[in-house]
Amino acid sequence: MVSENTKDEILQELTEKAAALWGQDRAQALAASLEQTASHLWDIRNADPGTDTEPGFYQ
Amino acid sequence: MSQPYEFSVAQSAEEIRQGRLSPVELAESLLSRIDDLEPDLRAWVTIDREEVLSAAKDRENDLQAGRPAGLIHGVPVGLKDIFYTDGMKTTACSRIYADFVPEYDATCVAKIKASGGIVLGKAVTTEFATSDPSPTRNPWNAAHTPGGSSSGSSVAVATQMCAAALGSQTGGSTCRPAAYNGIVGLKATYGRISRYGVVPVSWSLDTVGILVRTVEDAATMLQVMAGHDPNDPGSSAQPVPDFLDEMRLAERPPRIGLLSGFFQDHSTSEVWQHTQEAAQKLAGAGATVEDVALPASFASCHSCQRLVMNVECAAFHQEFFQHRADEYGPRIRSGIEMGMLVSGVDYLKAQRLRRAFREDMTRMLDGYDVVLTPATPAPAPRDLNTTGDAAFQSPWTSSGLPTIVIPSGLSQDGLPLGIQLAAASWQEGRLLGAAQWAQKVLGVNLSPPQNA
Repeated sequence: MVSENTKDEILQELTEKAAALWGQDRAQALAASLEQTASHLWDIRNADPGTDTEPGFYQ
Repeated sequence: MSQPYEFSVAQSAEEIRQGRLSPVELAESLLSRIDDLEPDLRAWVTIDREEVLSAAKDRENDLQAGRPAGLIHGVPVGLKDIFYTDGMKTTACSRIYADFVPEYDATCVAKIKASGGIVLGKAVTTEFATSDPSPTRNPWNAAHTPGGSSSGSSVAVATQMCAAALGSQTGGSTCRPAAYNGIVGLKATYGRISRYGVVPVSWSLDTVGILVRTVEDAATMLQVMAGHDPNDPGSSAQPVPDFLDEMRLAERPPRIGLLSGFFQDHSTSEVWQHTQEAAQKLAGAGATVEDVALPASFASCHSCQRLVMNVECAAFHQEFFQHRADEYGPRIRSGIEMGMLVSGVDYLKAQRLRRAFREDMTRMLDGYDVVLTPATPAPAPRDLNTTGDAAFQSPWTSSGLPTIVIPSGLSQDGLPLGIQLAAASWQEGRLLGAAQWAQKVLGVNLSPPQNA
């Protein structure tokens, strides 16, 4: 399973969401966190848990 | 002659049981120790001296009246300031909870009291048990972080201000500060110890942690607190064995899987060499040590842990955050904000990946009693703006598997180093047995300068 989005596209999407919620200044201040979150999202979007795997909230 | 504050949990309980030490004498010794060290180390938020001495007197009266003594009868225990304590402030070291006084004890606190334990006080945590550093100082070198989030609990145990303290782990908050301070940290299987009455970071990751100086004490504290709690939806109905018995039965040369790959790549050369030397020493004493490969699902486990933590943290704080965002520290604030940006689909994908990862890790553990890694990538960083790196803990927190850190030596800079062992779910007895055996073989008991 491969994500159609690149890491940069995910970052762009997150930055736009952040700016809409908290304004441009705050989005800018969150740049490092946004980059890290984009990287985490890219990781999970490119991983495959298997079609039949349900979430494991309580391990 | 040893002072009472130097005793482990097991020694304290035995001395009290035999009538050679009174609970009041032990409490006074620890309170005096706190008076001496607290100004420099800043490990405590609340100490109610009168309440501690009154509880100690009650325990003494119990013994004199011949009432049955619990497993930790008369032993004071420190609590990270996220554990609810009936009538005593539980601040989570935050402005949001600054005046919060719970009306009941967390289940694990109630169990400590039911076993004869005494609440010594509330220990410093990083704000809401996340990653904004606390004011607590590392007793080995004040220029280095003590780690977090269970910073006060770890420092208090390392410096003999108490023999046991509770922490918690959502990423690496018990085992990492244990390693940085040269003590033993145990994170049991997710669901083994109730989280009811513990201020949450992330419901599906949070695990109560145990900070002590010996493996035997870790088993004792686990025995006191383990068990099903209907008030905690994550609590397991797994039967609770006699962990001390299981530990003794499993105290023999274990089959050890040595995890390299990620753990080698992310360790300093000093830490990796130290870990290999420890593994060789264990093999020399009879353990079977084999290299074992990590499953492919390991690749996303850190990302899953971080995303799930941020989303659940955002969900818990949503109402406070709407009106009081400025009252949060910078790291928890940005973590909450990141959680708010993650979609439901991505959150659920992370939870599905966690489940698949856990199954893979369980398969990987087939054929081994435990797997071994360095406790941390490096000794405590010389940086008070960080709580260190949780990368070696978060795979175990994410998968829910039990893990323990034991001290294994000192770095060239004179800072504690540790090794980490992990076992399959519900195999704490096996984990504790292997750790007890390894602790004896390695023969390392670290003591910071304050203890000299």
